[in-house]
Amino acid sequence: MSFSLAQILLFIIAYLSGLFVVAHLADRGIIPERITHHPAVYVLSLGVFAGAMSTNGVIAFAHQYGYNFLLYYIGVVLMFGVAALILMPLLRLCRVYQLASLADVLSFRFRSPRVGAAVTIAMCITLLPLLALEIQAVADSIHILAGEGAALTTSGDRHHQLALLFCIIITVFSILFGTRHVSSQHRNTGLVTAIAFESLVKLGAMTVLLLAAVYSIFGGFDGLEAWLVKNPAVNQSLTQTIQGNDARALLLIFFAGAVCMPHIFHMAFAENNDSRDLRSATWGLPLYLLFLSLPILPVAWAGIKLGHGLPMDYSGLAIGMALNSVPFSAAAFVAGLSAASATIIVTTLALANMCLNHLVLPFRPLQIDRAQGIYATPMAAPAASSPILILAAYVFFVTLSGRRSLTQLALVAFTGTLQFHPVLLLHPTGRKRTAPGCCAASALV
Amino acid sequence: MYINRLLLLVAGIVLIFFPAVESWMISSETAWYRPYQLWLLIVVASYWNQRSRYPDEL
Repeated sequence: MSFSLAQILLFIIAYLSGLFVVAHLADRGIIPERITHHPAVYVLSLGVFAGAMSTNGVIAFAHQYGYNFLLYYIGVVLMFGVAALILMPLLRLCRVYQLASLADVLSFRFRSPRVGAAVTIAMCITLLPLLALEIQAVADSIHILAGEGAALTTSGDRHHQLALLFCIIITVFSILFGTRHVSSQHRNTGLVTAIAFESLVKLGAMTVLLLAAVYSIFGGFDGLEAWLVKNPAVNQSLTQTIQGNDARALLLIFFAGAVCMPHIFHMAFAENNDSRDLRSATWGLPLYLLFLSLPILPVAWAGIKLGHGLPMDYSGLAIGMALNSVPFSAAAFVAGLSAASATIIVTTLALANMCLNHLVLPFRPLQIDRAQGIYATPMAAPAASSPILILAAYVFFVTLSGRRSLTQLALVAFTGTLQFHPVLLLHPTGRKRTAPGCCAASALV
Repeated sequence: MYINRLLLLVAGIVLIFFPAVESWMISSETAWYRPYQLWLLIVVASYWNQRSRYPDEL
C-alpha cells in the first residue's frame, strides 16, 4: 500500500488549511469564548512541547533505552510540579512588564539590549536542530507513505525535494499565523485554539495507533502480555539503566527545556490570560503527556514484532503499512504532521518576535510612514523572519542528510536551551547582576 | 518566594521511598504500565495542590 505524492501533499495542505480555519473561527468569535478561553484550551496548547520527538523519536528512544524514554516527559512534569517556585514568579514578571520571550525577560532583568540580542541569536542557532528534526520526521514519513521507505535505510537518500515542498507549505502557514497579531499584549486566541486543536488531533492519532498495536498486532492486552513473557529480552531492555549520570543530565535537559524552549515559553507566558490557567496546567499538562506517552511502548513492541526494515521512529507508519490499513497509516502520519507543524509554526513565530524586538527594532528605529502606518515594520519582520528561519533549518537538514536520528537532533536542541536555565533561575535572587556576567554564564554552561 | 508545603512533603516522600518504588516498578515482567500508575498519582497530587490559591497571584 502506498500513496501518490500528490495525494500526500494535498492532504498536508488540507490539514493545515483546516487548522487555519480553526484559528480564523476562534479569532472571529464564531467558536464561543467559553470554549476558546477555557483552561483546557490553554493546557492543550502547551502540548506544543510534544513535537515530532514525542510521536516518532521517542519510539526509537524507548526501543533503545527502555523506561528511560519517560525522562523526556518527566522533565516537563517536574517543571510544572514546581510551578509555584519557577513558573508562577516568571508569569507574574511577564504579565506585569509585558515580556513575551526569554530574551525579553533577560534583557529586562539585566537592563541590556545586548543580552536580548545575544539570547536571540543563540536561540535561533540552537533551535535549528529542532526545526530540522520536524522537517526530517515529516519528509521521511512522506517518503515511507510514497512506498520508498527502504531507501531510508539503504541509500540514505532523503528526497530533499519532498522536504523542500513541505518547508514551502509550512512557511506559507507560518506567515499566515505570524502576521495575524502584531501586539504581544493581547492573547492570540486563534493561534492558541489552533494549537490546542492540534494537540487533540495528535492525541487522537496516537490513541488509534495504540489500539492498532494492541488489538491488530498482538490480538489484545492478553496477547501483548503473552508476547512479553515469550520475549524476556524485551522486558530486560525496559529496565536497563543509562550509564553514569546521563539519566540525571537528560532529566535536567528536558526540565530546562520545559521553560527555556521559545515555543513553550511563548505558549505558557505570552499567550496566558489568567494565572488560574497555569495552575490548571500544573496537573493538566502532565495528564495530557501521560495519555500521549501511553502508546509509545506498545507501538515500539509492535514494531519489533513486525520486524520492519524502517527506522524505529516510524513504527507507527510500519504498523499501518503491515496491516495494509489506510486509517492506521493516516493516523501515524497525522500524528507526526500535527506535532511537527505545531512546533514549527509556534517556534518560528516566537523566534520572529524575538528577532523583531531584539535585532530589528534596536538597530532600525521605527519609522512612521503615513502611507504604510505604524504597523508596517512589525508586520513585515515576522513575515520575513519565518521563511529565513525555515530555510536555515532546511539547509541544516540537507547538510545533515539523515546522518542524525530524531533523538540526537532533539537532544542537541534541548541541550542548547539548557545554557539559559541557570541565568533564568538565578536572576530573581542575584544581587549584583551584570549583562557580561549573564552572557559569560550562559556561554560557560 | 512562596514555598508550597504539600510540594515539600511530596518531594520528601519521593526522596525517601524512591528505591522501593523503583524496584516495585520493574519487578513485574508484564506490568509495563506501572510507571504510569505512579505518574497518575503525581497528577492527582498536583490537582490537589493547585486547588489552593497563592497569596500573590495575579
